[in-house]
This record gives sequence, C-alpha cells and structure tokens, in this order.
Amino acid sequence: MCADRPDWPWSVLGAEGPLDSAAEVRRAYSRRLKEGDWSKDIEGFEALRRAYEHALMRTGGGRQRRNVVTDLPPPPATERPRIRQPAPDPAPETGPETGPEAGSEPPAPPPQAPLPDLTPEAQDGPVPDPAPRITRDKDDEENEDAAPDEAQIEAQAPNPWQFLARIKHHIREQDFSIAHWSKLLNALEMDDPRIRLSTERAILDHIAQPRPWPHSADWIRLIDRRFGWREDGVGLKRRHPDSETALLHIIDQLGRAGHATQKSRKPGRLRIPVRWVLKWLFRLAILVAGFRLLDDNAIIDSEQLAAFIAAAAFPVLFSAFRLMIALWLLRRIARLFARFSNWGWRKLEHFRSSWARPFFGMNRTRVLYALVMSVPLIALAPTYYGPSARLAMQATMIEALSEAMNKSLYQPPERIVTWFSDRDALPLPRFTLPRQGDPAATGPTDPYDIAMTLRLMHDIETDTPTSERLARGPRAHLLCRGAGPGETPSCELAMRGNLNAVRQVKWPEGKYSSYLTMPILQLLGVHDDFRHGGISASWANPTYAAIDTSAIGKALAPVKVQAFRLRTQMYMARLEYVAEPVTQQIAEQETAGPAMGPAMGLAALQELDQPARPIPLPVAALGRPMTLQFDWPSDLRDAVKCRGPVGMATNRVTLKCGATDLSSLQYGTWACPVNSPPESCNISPVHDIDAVPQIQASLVKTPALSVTFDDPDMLALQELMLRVVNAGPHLPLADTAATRRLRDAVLRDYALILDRPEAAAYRENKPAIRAALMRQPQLYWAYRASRDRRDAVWEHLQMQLRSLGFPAADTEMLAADHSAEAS
Amino acid sequence: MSCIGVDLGTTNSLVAVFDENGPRLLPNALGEVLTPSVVGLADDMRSLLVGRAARARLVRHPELTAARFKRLMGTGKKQKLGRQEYSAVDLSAMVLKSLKADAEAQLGHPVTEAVISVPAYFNGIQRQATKDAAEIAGLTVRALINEPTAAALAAGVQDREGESTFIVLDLGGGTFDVSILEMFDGVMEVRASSGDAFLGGEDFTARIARQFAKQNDLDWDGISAAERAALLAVADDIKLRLAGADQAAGKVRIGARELTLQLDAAQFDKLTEDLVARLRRPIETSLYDAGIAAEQIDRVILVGGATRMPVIRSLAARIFRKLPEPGTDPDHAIALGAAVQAGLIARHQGLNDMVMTDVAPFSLGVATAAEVNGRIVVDRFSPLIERNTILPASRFEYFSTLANYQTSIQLEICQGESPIASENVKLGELQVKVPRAPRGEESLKVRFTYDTSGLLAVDVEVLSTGMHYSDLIENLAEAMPADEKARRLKAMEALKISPRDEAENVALLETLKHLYAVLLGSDRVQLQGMILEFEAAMDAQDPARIQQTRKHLAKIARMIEENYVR
Repeated sequence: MCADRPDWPWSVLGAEGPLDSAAEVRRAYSRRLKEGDWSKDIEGFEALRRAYEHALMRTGGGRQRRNVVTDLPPPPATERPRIRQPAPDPAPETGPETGPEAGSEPPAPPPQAPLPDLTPEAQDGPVPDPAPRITRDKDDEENEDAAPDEAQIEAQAPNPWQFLARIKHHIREQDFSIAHWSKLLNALEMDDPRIRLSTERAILDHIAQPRPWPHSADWIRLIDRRFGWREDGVGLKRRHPDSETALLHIIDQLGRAGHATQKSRKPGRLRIPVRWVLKWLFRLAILVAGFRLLDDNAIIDSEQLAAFIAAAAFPVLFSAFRLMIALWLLRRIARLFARFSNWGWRKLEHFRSSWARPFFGMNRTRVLYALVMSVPLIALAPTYYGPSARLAMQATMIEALSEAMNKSLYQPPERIVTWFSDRDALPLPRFTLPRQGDPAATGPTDPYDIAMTLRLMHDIETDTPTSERLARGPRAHLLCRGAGPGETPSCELAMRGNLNAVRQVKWPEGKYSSYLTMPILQLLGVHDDFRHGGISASWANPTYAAIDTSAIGKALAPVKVQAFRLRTQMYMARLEYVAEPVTQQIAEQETAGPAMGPAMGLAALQELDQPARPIPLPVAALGRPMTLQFDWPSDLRDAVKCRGPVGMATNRVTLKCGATDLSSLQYGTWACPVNSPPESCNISPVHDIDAVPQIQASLVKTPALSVTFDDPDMLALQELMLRVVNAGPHLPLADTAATRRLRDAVLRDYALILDRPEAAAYRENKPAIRAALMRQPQLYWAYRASRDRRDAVWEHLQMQLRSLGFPAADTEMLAADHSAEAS
Repeated sequence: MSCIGVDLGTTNSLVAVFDENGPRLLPNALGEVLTPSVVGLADDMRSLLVGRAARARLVRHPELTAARFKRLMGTGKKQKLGRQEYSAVDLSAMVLKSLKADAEAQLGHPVTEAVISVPAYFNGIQRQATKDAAEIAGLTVRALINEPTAAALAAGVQDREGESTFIVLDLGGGTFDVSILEMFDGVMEVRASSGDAFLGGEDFTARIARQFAKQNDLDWDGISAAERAALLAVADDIKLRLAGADQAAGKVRIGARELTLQLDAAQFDKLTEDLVARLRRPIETSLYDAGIAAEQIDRVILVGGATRMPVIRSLAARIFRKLPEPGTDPDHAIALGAAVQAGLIARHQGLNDMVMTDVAPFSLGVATAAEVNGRIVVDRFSPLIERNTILPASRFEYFSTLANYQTSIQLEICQGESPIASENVKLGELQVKVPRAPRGEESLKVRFTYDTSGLLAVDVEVLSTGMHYSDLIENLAEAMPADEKARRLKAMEALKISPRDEAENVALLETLKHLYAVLLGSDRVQLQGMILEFEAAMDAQDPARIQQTRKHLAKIARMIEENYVR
C-alpha cells in the first residue's frame, strides 16, 4: 500500500514535500484530477482520493464526520475542538471545566462549553441569542436527579443545551407521550446539529437498555420517523457506530408491533414463542369447536372421533419421535465420520446434491429430512387410518377384543383346523333377565309383564357362509356366572332369535342416528314426541312393504320407534308395527282390549314360511353394545301349552280361524275377529312370540293360515329359559340331544379355559382358547387364576348345571367327544 | 449538432443549450421557457397536447389529461388517457419530444443528444426509465445529471474562480433534493446528496386543498376528479400568492356551491408544519454525510418553484444562518446546469478546466445475517459502497459462513438505506459455492466497483479456493429492449401532434375554455363572445388577423387569470 512510503500522501498528490494548508492540498488534488480520465482507472482514483483525504485531515481541512460520537462521550468536551478546528476562538473559561466532565456519563448535559459554538461565525442569520450559562451547581442538580420541573428549567436557563436537558428529563421521568415528543422533535433547537446528535444519542442510549422498555412502539415509530433510522440505517451507523444494539431493539419492537419484517432467532436452540403456541391453540380450539358443532348436529360421534384421533395420533407421533432420534444419531455418526474422512462427506454431499435437485430453492437438509420422515408415515398410514385402527384402539376393552376375535372366528371353518372352529361364537342375542330398577327394562308404557332384553354382542352377518354356519351351529348357549369374586350366581341363556320381535331399542348414550341405519329397516323420519316426552322415529321395513294392504287403505308396514330420555340420560325406545287404520277403527268401535297389543301379527305370519333369519345390525360400527328388548309372553308355560303336542312329526299345521269371544283373548293367543268366518279358532303364537292376536280377518287373504311351530328343541330351550329366570333347583330336563349338546358345549369351553385334563390335548390351541373365551367372557379372570380357583369354578359350574336340571355330565364322554370332533 | 440540457420536472420542464455565451434557455412555441409537464388528448381523442394547452384542460378533462407522472417513473403504473393507457415513460417521452421540437426550432438544426436531470434520489430503475423515455423521444442520453448538481453547476459556472462550499435545496413539484458541493480550482466535487422522493410543492398544494375540502364539509375522496382538480388549482394559486402576501383568497365552484376560500400565512405555516419538518431530515443527513457543519456552508442555493414559499426560505435561513442566494431563478437553474453538463461532456472550449466528481446517491451492499448477543439476526443489510461515496469507487469486505458445513452462500445485492435488506431494492443475486467447513472458517471477499456511468461490478472471491464469481449490473436496472422502444415510438406517432405554429392558438383557446368553465354569469357570456371571436378569426385563415386577435384576447385572458382564478 502506498501508505508505506514515507512521503505519502504528498507524493500521490504530486507534491514534492508536505503541503502546509488545505488550500494547497486542494490545488494539488485538482491538478492531479485534471491530468487524466479517472473513470477508467478506478484504483488510481481511489488511491488519489485516499491520499487527498488524508492530506486534508493532516492540514486541517478534512471531513469530520467519522468521529462525531465515538470521540466525544460528553458532547462538549470533544465536539467543540472538532467543530472549532478551523475557528481559533475557544472560550477560555471552559478549559478547566472540561477535564472533570470528560469522565461523566456520555449524554450528560455539558456546562457552558458549547455556547460560544452555537453562534459561531454566522452573524447574518436569524440566530438565537447566546443563552446565559448554566452554572456548575445547576448541572450537579441535574445529575443528582433532583428533577426540577420543565418550567423551572426553562425559566432558569433558556439555553439551547437546555433543550437537551429537557429531552433527558423526559427520558428519565419515563414520559413517552407522543404529543410531548412530537413537539420536542420539531422544536427549533433540533436544527442545531449538535443538539440533534446528542438528542439522538440520548434516545439511542435509552433504547439500548435491556427490556422491558417503558416506551411504546408508537413512540419508537415517532422517533424513527424523525431520525429516519429504519429508512437510513447507513446514516445511523455513520452517526453512531455503536448503535447496533439500539437498532436491534428498534427493529425488534417495531417488528412486534407489526411495523417491520425482520425477525431474529437464537442459533441452534428450540425456541417456541408464545405467539406460536397461542396460534396453534387457537387452531386447535377452532377444530374442537367444529367437531363439537358437528357432534351436536348428530353428524359425527365426537367421542368416537376423539378416540380414533388419539389412537391414530399416538403411534404416528411415537414413530416420528423414534425417527427423529434415529436421524439425530445418524447425523452424529456422520459428523464423526466426517471428522476423519473428507471423502465420506464428499460422497454424502454428492448424493444429497444429486437427489435433491428437483427441490430447487429448498434447503437440501430439510428435503432429506422431510423425505425420510414421510416414508414411514406413508407406509404406516393405512394401518393407522384404516378400518382396523378402531379395533386397535378398542383392544383394551374385553368386549372389543372379543369382537375382534369373533370376527376372526367367522372365517370359513376350513381355515381353522380344530374342532373348536366349528363352534361358532354365538352370533345370537343373549337373553338376560332385566335387572331390578334397570330403566331399560321397563318402558314407560310397557304393556307386558316380562320384558327380555337382548344384548347384541356380535356382528351378525347375513352372508351365506355365516347363515350356513348359523344353521349348523348351536341354537342356544349357556353362560353361567357366580364363581368369580363378587358375582351373584346366575345363568344366562343365549338364543338365536328373530329380531322382528324387537320391541325396544336401548341406545347407549350418544347419538341414535347411526343406529337407525339398520339395513332392513329404513328410517322414515324422526320427530319430537312431546306426548311421551321423547323422540319418535318411524321406520319402514321394505320386506313388509310388499304386502298388499290396499283393502285397508294403508300399509301395515311402518315400524314406529319411540325414544325416551330417562333419568340416566339414556335413550330408550319402543319399536312396533303400526296399523293405523286398525287402531283407528278399534278406537271408534271401542273394542280395544289387551289383545290388541302391538299389531304386528300379520307381518310375523308372513314371515313364518321362511326360516328364521337374523337381521344384520351393524353392531361393530357402534363401538359399544346395543340393547334390544323383546316382548315375551307373561307365562311361557302357556305358550308352550298352546303349542300342541310336543314331539309332533311336523311343526307345521294349518289352522282355521273361527269366531272367538273377545273377552277370552289373552296375550299370547291367536284370535280371529268377532265377525270373522266360523273357521277361525284360537291359536297360539308360534316360533317366536311375536305373533299376536290378529283382529281383522280381512287382512288375511287366505282363510287358511300355514303356521310354523317351534321344534321340540326350541321348546326345551324355552323351558330352560324359564328356569334360568326363576331360581332353582328344578326338575331334570328331558335328556335330549339338544340338552346334551348345550351342556357339553359349555363344559367344553370351561374345560378348555380352566385347563382341565379333559381338554389337555387342546392346551396349545390358541384359537380354540380364544373362541372359548369369546363365548364365555365372564371367565376371563379365571383363565389366569390359580388352579384352586379354577377348580372351584369348575365345581360351581357343575353345581349350576345340576341346579338347572341338566343331566350329569360324563367327563370321559366329554373327552371322547373332544377327540371325535378333533379328528 | 448540439447536445441539449433538459430539466424534466414534475410540474414544469425546460430545455437549455450551452453555446459560446454560456448556457441559455430555449423557449417553446408559446415563447415561454416553462413547459408544463402535462400531456393530454384533445377533444378529437387523437391530437396530442403537451404543455400549457394540456394543463388548461386538466380541470375540465382529467380523464384525457395526465400530469405529475414523474412520480410514477419506474413503477410500472399506467395512466389512462382516453381509450389507451400510457406508462410514465411514454408520457415523459411525449414531453421530451415536444421539448426536442422546441429546441430544434430555436437552434435550426436537429438535436439528437441530451443531458437530462433527475432527482438525486432517483434509484437505478427510475433513472433507467428516464433514459428509456428519452430514447423513445429520439434523444440519446449522454448523461443523467442529478438535479441539485445541475443547479450547482449553473451557479458554479458563474463564479468559477471562487473556492466555496454550497448547498442546493431543490424543492420541485414532487421531489425534494439536497446536495452539498464543494468548488475549488475548477473542481466541482459533490460532497453529499440526499432527498425525499415523495415530498414536493404538490404536497403543500394538496394539503391546502384538503384543508379547504375539510372546512367546507366536502369529502375529499368523495368528490369527483374534476372537482378535486379545481380545488387543487385554487389551492395552488393561493399557495403561489401567499409567497408575496400575508393573505390570499380564491373562488371555486363545487357542485352547486360557489366557495370562497382564503388562507393567511400563519394558517399555512401551521397546516404544513409536518411537511416542513420532513424537509429537515435530508438536509441534516447530507450535512452529516459531507462532514460539514452548517456554518461552513458558504452559499445556499434554492432551486425549484416550491422554494419560493417563504416557509422554505425561513427554514433554510434558520438552519444555515444565511439568507438563500437570490441569484438564479429557481425554475431555471436545473435546465441551465444540465446544459452546462452537456457542454462539459462535449468538451466545450469554455469548460476545459472544469472537472466534476459525483457521489453515489444510495448505498450498495449485500444482505447478511449477523450474530448479535447470541442471536442470529437475518435479513440485515451490510453496505459496501456507502451513500455519498465519491465515484468511481471500489470497496470490498469479507464475509464468512454462518452455518456449519455450509456449502453455498447466496449473495443478494441490494441498494438502499434501510438496515433491513428486504426493504431495499434488490438488484441481483449470486450463488457462491464454498467448501465444507465449520462455520466462520470459510470467507468471501466481496468487492463492489461502481463507476461514474452507473455500472456496478460485483466480484466475489472465495478465499480458500481462489474461485471468482462476478456479476455486472448495468445501470442498476434493465434497459428497455430496442424493439419495445420502437413499438412505443410508433404508437406515439399515431397521435397527431398539432403544428408548432398553431400551438399558441390551441393554448389560448384552451385557456379561454378553461376560464369559461370556471367563471359564472355575465363573465361567461363575455368569454363565450371571446371564444366565438377567436374561432371566427381562425376560420378566416388570415395570419395577421389571427395574430392580432390572439394578442388582444391573450391579454384579456391573462388579466382575468391574474385577477380571478390564477
């Protein structure tokens, strides 16, 4: 650099030796400048310029702006010589005072030092009069923060520096009112550059202080507009080279107030700003509110959805977490690797740059990260979001577990090798006694003495293989409790039933709309039924709609559901066939009696020719069991009695209707109307107990009805059901094949679950055990219990079976049966 | 063949030439040196009107007339004129073309080169737009000169021997510029320039007009464009008259109301207090940049019509403790200075010993991120060539990587003064590859070289590998392609320009029509008669009679204008 030469900068300016005055330097520079075309020789020009400016500085004519602030912590002490340099008239009395002042705080107001400067050589302008001096003690008073009020200050010292004192007073008193400050900033004193600089300095010093700031963003804006900091950062840096912190604070605060775009962050540290958290909370709230709204409008079930989301989100988050850890480790390893081998990095870099090419403008590391992250997510998505997700979610619940098992057991038999595979988990309604005080058991207007509730535990499917299996499988299934801790001894009989006899539907808490979509029943409408204090729904049964009812003008087909809201917040409903004209007519003739009952007989009769057929109910879709209530005759014995000879060769007879006395009509008997042809007669309800008195013969096209009776086994089951309901002990049951089958099925299940020697051969057969547990869920605890407990359970079962009247079981035969079926 | 100097102003434009006798202004067809920067279409929608005639139509046909388009230079915004839309470049080209024609008529030979003045604070894009406009008008731009520089040049040439420092305050119609110049030994050195591109005399006018609207319960945004223009015209008139009087009044008709508006000097000062405050900052900035104390300023030169406002003169006096120089007419100085520069470029005999150095009017730098107190602040602007650096200049700085194992650095080149890089004008971008290394270990040497012709060369050297990347940003903005210029030129030629010798007639007729629209009652009847008289004279096609009638009527029109409306 040319500065090395001893005669620099003079030689560059073309001078022989040092020049004495700025004027000479200028002349020399001018000469050099005119010598050539400097626009082509930029470096030469720069060198000349440097030399010129240096020479000017040495001769006292240079620019002074570089050291305006840095060199002069107390404004007067250093500012004065700088500005005065060409003017040789320093006020003599200021000399001794600047010494002690130099060490004081930078923005401290100067004593009288600058005053002569304020009226320098300019005599012709409209100059404010030089103000009286601020005395020394006045200054001390200021420093001691005695804070004299503004008026006082002004009165005592109408000095231009007084203005600065006012500014500082405002800052010290934390008075940042916009009105005051805009007046201050536009004051005449601000025309003086030194006042302006010192004011700016004082404000910047204030702003550079750490948070919390007492001033508002509006105040900052006002100041910023006056000094143009944001518009002219370069100028600010020139005036106050150490203003970086203050500038950061300004940008920060303006940015917070939405006036600036710049953002800052901490390197390598996760920082979640409050605003970010609030933003996401807000979004979540909107989401929840949305679901809530949908939920209230019965569009979706929020509970299910929430559970589903939780079940879906957890594994996703968890796998993401695992991935992050894996990636972090990977990065560590890669970094370690890079420390020893540059080659490895080059390869990795090459790989990354080649595959990330389509993502122009994106951070490649982020692309890599996003891609790696998305692969497992995409792969896992079907698992988490597919239909089985719900099962996974409910797996903790025994019922849901059994449901899943049940599903697997519905696979075609040939796919399961053991004899248990044939034993379908009962897809049947299980009859239980209504508990005392159970609101579901007694409808508000239940005309019947006994109501049986049906719990649908399983998904009932109507596809052919299932139907076949149903036909092959047991028609009833015994389930006994009481051996477990805290259980009361009781047995339940699960039977295959005809859902056409469903009288009541008890909804679990939630929305009924999804349950009204039973395929066989078509929802016609739901409306408030204030009369019953509940909700009514009308269903149509498409099967029955085919019946020609033109003779009575209206269809019998509609099914009516009445739902009631009970104390327990449960919905309960009655489901009945409605024959409106009939009801109407009867009402007119005042012939209504107990026999009228639910007028569903015709429909049931029409069904008689067909084999019993379960109605598919999408139970699985419900997420929890639904309870149905059946009508049941008050005295089963009567029903059995009326059924004609047990053990008949055929269970189908043709009966004729005859005149009947209305008063003799009872529930559970089949009656013809009063004015019906003489061939009508009393018949009993058949098959299921849903055939109830038929009032109008005109409804029946054929005078002769073909009625199907239950087979003897069914009658035995009905007998058994009665025994289950009533406390024993009972007389022995007829030792028929059906009875034995029922007993053996239970014993086999118990044996397997309780790990009895009879079932030792199947100990390892997990599907078999699962199926058994499925059928006997009450034994879940016993499956894991000690041997003693298990033995007790086994004994208890034997006792219960005996009490119900079952013939004693032959354990050898049971084992033999095992092997026979297994083979 | 001579090179003209053009002052393309927001409100008025002028043309001047430098000849043996120094710079002199060239009058237009109406014999006036000030040509209003207003472009309009005549009632036939095909004839182009420029200058006084167009300005007279501004109030009556705002949809056919465009004014103040200089403020839109470089923005891409378009103004609708009749059925077509014109950009500010097109409109400026029309004015320049008219000025060119005037110059040619005065000089007697074709003119193809020009020096055009622009506000010092025009950025690269705005400068390029000005250049494009000149080229569409058929002028080759030899140089763009900063307006204050031009004004100072005009003043400096008159006093060549002195050694002085002076400040030029140029408050034009739409812009405010400040320049500090030093003059010694035939060297004119611009020490600093600064300005506010959106502050001008028109803002003062608008402030008055809005105040009037407020006083009279008019919704400024609700009244029609013509009514707004009328209010503005009256406000402008009152503003001009306040320069010489303590009180001024005017009348205007808005809807069915005839409003009498008046304002006194004190009210005016109070009304425009904040505008005057805005004037201070550029002055302070330039003083500071120049490193010169206000007392060291020897001369204060006021340029631009708006500096006639007493409030500006008192502001200048307050700051510099000097009365502004009365010398040059503030309206003429820039054009004269541009002509001087034109002469300088053509190396005219009279200027052999003049050298001029200019400064970069804005800072040039790169966007960076800085770590301050453990926080990384991105989007910072690190200037390399600071504002008011003497040109040509070449500066470099070192930058290093921010992240560990960073492999490339994106260098954004910006122009502006904001500390936030994204708030500045982005000029270009360079992708620089660096070897992998922990952060801070790889460094770049970035060099900016900015020469007098407005060419910015960026050179980046990766220190560890010695690789060089470079970029050249010409004039800091992209020039309009040649075929586009030709297309626009053709589009302009489709507009019929009335013959030069008819310009006076057209202007007078438009003035009369304007007066007719403004006046009421019997004055109207009288003006109607005047218009008929003039039209009859023109129909007769007797030059002598037309001239005579024109002179007579122009006198009356001027009287009316001075006494009543303007």
